[in-house]
Amino acid sequence: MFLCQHQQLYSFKYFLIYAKSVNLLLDLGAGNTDRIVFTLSKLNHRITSISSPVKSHSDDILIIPGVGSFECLMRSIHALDLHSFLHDWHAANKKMVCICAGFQILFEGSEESALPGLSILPGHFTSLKTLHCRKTLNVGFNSLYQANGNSFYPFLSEFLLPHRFYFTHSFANTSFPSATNADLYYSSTYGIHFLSSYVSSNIFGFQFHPELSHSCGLRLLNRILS
Amino acid sequence: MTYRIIPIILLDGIKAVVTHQFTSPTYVGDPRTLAKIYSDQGADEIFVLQINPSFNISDNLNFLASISKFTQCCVAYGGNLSTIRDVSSIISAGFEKVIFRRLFFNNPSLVRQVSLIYGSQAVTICLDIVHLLDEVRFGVFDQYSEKYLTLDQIYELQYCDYFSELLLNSTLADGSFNVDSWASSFIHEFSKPIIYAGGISSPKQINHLFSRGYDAVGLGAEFAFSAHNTSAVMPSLTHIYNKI
Amino acid sequence: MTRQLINCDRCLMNSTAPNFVKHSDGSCNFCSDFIKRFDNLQRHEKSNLASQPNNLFEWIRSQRKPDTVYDCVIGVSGGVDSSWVLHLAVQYGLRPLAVHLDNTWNSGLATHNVRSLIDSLRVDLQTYVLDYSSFDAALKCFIYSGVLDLELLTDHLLISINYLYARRYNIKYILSGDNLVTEGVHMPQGWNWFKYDFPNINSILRAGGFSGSQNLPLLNYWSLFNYKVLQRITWMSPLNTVPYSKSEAIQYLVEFYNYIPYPYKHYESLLTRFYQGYILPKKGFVDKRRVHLSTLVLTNQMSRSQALDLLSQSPYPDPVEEYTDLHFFLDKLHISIKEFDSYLSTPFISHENFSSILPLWRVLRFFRLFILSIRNLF
Repeated sequence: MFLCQHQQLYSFKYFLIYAKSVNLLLDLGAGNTDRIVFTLSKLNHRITSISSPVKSHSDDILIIPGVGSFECLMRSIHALDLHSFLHDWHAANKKMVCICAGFQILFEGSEESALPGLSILPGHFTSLKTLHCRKTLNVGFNSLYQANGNSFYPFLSEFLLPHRFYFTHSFANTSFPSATNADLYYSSTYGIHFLSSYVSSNIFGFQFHPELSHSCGLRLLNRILS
Repeated sequence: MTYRIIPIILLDGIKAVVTHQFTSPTYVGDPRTLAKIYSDQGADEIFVLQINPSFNISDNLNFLASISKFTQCCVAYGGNLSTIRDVSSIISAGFEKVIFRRLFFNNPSLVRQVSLIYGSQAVTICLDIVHLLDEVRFGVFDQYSEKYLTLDQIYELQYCDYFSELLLNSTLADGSFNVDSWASSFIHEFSKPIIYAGGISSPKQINHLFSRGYDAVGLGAEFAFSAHNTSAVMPSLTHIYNKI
Repeated sequence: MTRQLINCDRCLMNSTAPNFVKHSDGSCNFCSDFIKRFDNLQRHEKSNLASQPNNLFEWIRSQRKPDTVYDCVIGVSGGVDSSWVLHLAVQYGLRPLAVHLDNTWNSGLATHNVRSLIDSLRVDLQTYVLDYSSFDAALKCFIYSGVLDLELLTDHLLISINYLYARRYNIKYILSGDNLVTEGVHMPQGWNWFKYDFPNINSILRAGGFSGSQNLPLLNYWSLFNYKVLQRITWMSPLNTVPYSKSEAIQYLVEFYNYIPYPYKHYESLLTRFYQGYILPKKGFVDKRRVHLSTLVLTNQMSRSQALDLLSQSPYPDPVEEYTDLHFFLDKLHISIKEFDSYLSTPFISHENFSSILPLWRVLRFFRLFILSIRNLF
């Protein structure tokens, strides 16, 4: 099995979480998912794990949580034959909520890894070091600002400044994808603007962690999943 | 850039304690309740540090999971991590970050492995600020080992990709309600976020440390004890958070 | 529950209370009893203090002895009543020692409120932090016994540590936040138990196999005799001797002490919140809000319609909080959801199923009152 070589040394779990109607939690092999599972349970959303591609309904929501390196996530996706499953999911315009590393893998690639991303969205992630930021890690609470015009989901404007969300990442997308049918949100740190959220008709992608952003993040998740 | 003020919960086994120079632990309650209190009050992050060397992680996973489970913020864990299995268990238990101290010196390849799997943002290195006769050094200085880095070596760590944050912890200042003198006077230009912990007891000290280049501060005793009467346990962080 | 409920037309009590009796005029025994006691007690307090200053705070001040550090002990929980007592004590020039029992179930609101108050008033605080493994194990004994009053242990320990600190610092007066204005309506029979019933507590703990009694500051009768009779430590309720409006107190506390109010009485403790908001209604069809809100209605601090509106809402205004509290309770006590469901599906049993001092206490109390009334005659 073509697993990330480090994963072979021990067993651990990383999940894609599938909420609402048929709840599927995908075991990719690494990360802390109990947190988001409990958070979603608090919001009265049922969660089930899956370990391979499964049949689903059109109103189901897939959640890709965000712990783990870009490389390990992509290796696991290939190893568990989820590449097509995720592409098909997106092609069917089914909703997906992607958090942090789970958001980054939607794009073409990252400086963090030689492996390409899913290329569902155009763009690359560059290290904050390469971007000459004062710090190589952006960690802490930051606000969101809308980068383009009309909002797909008007309720998202409730979560702009002064609300703050928790970020922790060393790689950022500063070349915003062209998005006529999507809302882009940016945040600022150390003198750069980076893509903090991409929202289209079916993708809710967040560089930040709503499950670690107190009541603000909880409300955001609830609004998206309801 | 926003600064972080991080409550630190010290564990002596399964009890939350506050120490003085990491000795003479005073019991302050159930760490699960403390973590929930700090999270409910809006903590930026929470650090949970185990000081009991005989604490077995795999025997206490449910307990550890309950510490982070009821929080709504990032929780990091440090202490007695010596294998990948330990780290995996901790991350699966619900912690977002791990903090290495002794392991950074004893087994740096393991630290690298962890960062390759979980990302460097999940790894924080903790070094004690040690005052020797004529200089300050950084490392591990306790009854089990003595390993130091000089200040120049600390600056070289900026280029190390295995970790993303540095926690400088003053054993001397721990529980004393006075910041380490070196820490408060030195001005930092470090490319990774740098956190100071030890003896912080007022918003003025915190603002001073931020002006010195620290990106975050960790507070233990100040959050656990009532400000006016320092021996009375009353965990709360709003009196600091509301003033910064 | 399918039986027809009978409701009082004046207060909020109804036939979910075992000893509820509706009168022909629409009122009930609870509100009638409260009105009678409210008037009587006010007259009684006034007559006792006729030769003394207006209120208990001033009276205690007048009793101050030289070479003492504190005038009184005030137990603080973060609730409105005890916070107001502390505020008034300082305002009247007393030197209180604030005492807090931390049973490791505090909420973030409670610790914030206590800390804000202590820091602002610059009052000394002593906190007794219970060994949580022992307390939680003891609490489980109460749960598995099936008795209703799960707060009996905390309330008993609260009394004990107040006495403990009073003795330690040679203080003669313990001021509580008890008052008629917000909690005067009697708790219905069976909705709680006598807090001084040491044999009952011991019996429940023994039945549950608890072996950590030495880790809990239980109050036995020798200690009680020592505190009350030999040391002459007295409990007092000063809020009954001064004008007290809960809403005005909350307003003042919010404005001057950064106080954050709770949705309901006693909700500063996670355990109390879960016990009163979840366990009692589901297991015993008991809603203690009826008692608290009835008092507010009868003392004109809230309209009956406002109170009814509050009562119609879930005791847990926030379902996320309810879910979190449920799992926190289960995790902390190591109880599975299946065990807990089974626990909820069976009715409460009376504390009388265990040893109790109550029958003897009632006899002794009767004799005490009898002797006092004979003495008053002469």
